[in-house]
Amino acid sequence: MSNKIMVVDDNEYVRASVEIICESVQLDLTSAACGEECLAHLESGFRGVILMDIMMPDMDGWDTIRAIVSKGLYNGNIIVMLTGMGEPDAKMDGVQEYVTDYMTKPFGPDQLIESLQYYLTLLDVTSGTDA
Amino acid sequence: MNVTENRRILLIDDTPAIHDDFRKILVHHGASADLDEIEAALFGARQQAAPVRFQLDSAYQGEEGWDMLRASLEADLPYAMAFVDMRMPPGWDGVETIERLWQTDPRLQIVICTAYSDYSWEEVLERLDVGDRLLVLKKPFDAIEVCQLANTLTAKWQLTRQAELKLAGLEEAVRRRTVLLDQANEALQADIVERKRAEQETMNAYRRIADILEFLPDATFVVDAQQKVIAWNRAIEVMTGVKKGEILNQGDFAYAIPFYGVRRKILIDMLEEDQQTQEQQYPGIRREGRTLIAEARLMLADELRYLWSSATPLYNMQGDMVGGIQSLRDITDLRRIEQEKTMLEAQLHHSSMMESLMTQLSHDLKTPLTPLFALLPMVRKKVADPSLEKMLDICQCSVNQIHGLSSKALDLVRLSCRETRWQPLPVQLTSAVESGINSCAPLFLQRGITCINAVDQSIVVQGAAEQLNLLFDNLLSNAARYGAANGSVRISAELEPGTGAVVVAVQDDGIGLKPGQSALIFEEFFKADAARHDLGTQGLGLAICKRIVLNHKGRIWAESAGIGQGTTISFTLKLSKIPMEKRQTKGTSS
Repeated sequence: MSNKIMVVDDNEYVRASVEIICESVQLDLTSAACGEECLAHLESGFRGVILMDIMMPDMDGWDTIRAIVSKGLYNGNIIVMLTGMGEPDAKMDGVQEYVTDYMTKPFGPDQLIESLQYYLTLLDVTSGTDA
Repeated sequence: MNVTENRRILLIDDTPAIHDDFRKILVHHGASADLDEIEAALFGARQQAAPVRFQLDSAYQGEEGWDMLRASLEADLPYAMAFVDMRMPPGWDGVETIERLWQTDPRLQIVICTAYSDYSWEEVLERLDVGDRLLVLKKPFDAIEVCQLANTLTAKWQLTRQAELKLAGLEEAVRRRTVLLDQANEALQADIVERKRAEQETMNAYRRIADILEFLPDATFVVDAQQKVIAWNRAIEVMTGVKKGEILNQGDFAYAIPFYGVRRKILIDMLEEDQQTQEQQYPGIRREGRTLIAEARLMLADELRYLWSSATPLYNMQGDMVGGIQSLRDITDLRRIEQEKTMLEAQLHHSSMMESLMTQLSHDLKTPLTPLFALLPMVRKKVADPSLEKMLDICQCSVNQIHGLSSKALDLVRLSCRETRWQPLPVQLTSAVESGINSCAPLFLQRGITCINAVDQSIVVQGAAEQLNLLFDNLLSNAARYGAANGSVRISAELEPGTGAVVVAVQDDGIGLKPGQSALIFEEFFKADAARHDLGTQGLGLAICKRIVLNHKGRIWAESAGIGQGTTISFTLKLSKIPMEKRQTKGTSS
């Protein structure tokens, strides 16, 4: 089973929290502080489960997904959006189909681990099918 | 006027010798000594007579003489006189002849010649309308007598004729003059009629304008060049309470008194002022063509009023200013509504600002809560020291509290501004109930409470599923929290007769309510047991429920027999479909 996780969030403490939790269960975590960093990791070959914050300065979660899709970097990844459960916004139109799930902030460690393990399994299954 | 000399004489006598004699006397023969002699022999000694020249025509019977007279008239050569014999057998006698002659020519001068008469003179005069036209010549007659008669009577005819002609001329002149006068009179009459018509039209036009002015909806008055009020319509009577009779023909700024209490210049007096003066008197004044428009704030009948006003000069056909007209409109209501609108807009702006601030705040809290929420349990796992465990539990509880508050506050704000944004759809009531039961299942389990869903599966209501799920989530989490441990919670629904609504009740057997609390519990941040400092709740749950029910145009209320007697929260929802069959379903979670 692949164990590659990427968290994309502008908040350093959120990134650190996810990192600590992942470490505790030996999940391999890559951190990105913004959309550009996320794209750079994908271009460098990252494939796995991406935890994507929606509200980020400059390039938000939706813009980042658009860029991922338009650069052909989407395949082989699962995207889970981190949301404050705000109002649905107009910017998500057209990119929602690339989102597999939403995880509402704040989340506890057990919830996060359970989710990540579920999607890592799912990713394995779909990749296997693809291959 | 001259009349051609007429010396034509008609002699009517049955005796031919008489004709000869007359001819000798009246027709001039030049120097005829023989005739003179005969004349002398006949009529005695020769007398010196004025030379005469007459045209003498002879008739020997009355009827013949009458024919000749008519012929002479037809030829326009009338006789001036006639000598008529009294006795002319076998025809008409002299009187009858004269009668006929005068019937034909009343101007004819006649001398009646007679030796004796069958009539007395009185009879003759009575029978004939003699007048001054008849003279009598008794036979035997003197030549000079005949001659003088002929002279005199032809002259008389002449004069009479001249007089007649003169009279006719005068009459003609009078007639012509009369015709001219009649024509002038007719023209004058026509002129008078035309003037009257024009005057009537002017009056009608004036009347129309006066009527229009009178019934204009805007208060309006008109002044003449001397600033005297010449019109004051009904609307301005109503506005000012001043009647026409009190103000018409008043000058010296009388029209300002109803508005300002004093005689002063008002808008209509600004027409010819310079712009600076206009602006000093009426800030914000503007000009549209010749019209001045301004607004004033003043006291009318002890009330502050806003008046919009326009003043326009009036000109005559020659372009001279002959007065002005001013209209006023009470726009107080409009201004008040505008003020209210501004205030409401400010309030709306403020409340939408608060709303977005609340949303932002609740939302932004989620991010810093995330590391706490994520890491506290990790720390708790690594700690073995009981005092540290206790501290961490307190921290975890506080984090939960903050999380709950921000989530519920966000729900409440979202529901409050969402009212206009959703369309009601059919929602199966039991599915919303089940959603709530599932959310609260851990809590029910923890407290040993049995939850009974007694709602008929066929009941379908109009609503938003998401909101109804949240409604039951909140109600059941309250019931789970405040219901009696190991007790039961029952959810039921009954049709409300005649209203097309269903009444849903959530009943517990828990702590109950004090009298007077049943209305308060729906207020934000109200907690039934404030003294307990209930850390697990935020005091927003029932406020959210109330908001959702109001969003669905329903009613919500609470009932309790008292402390420890349990609580029933009821609310109404509109039915989407009337259930066809009743079925009892029980969903339990314990």
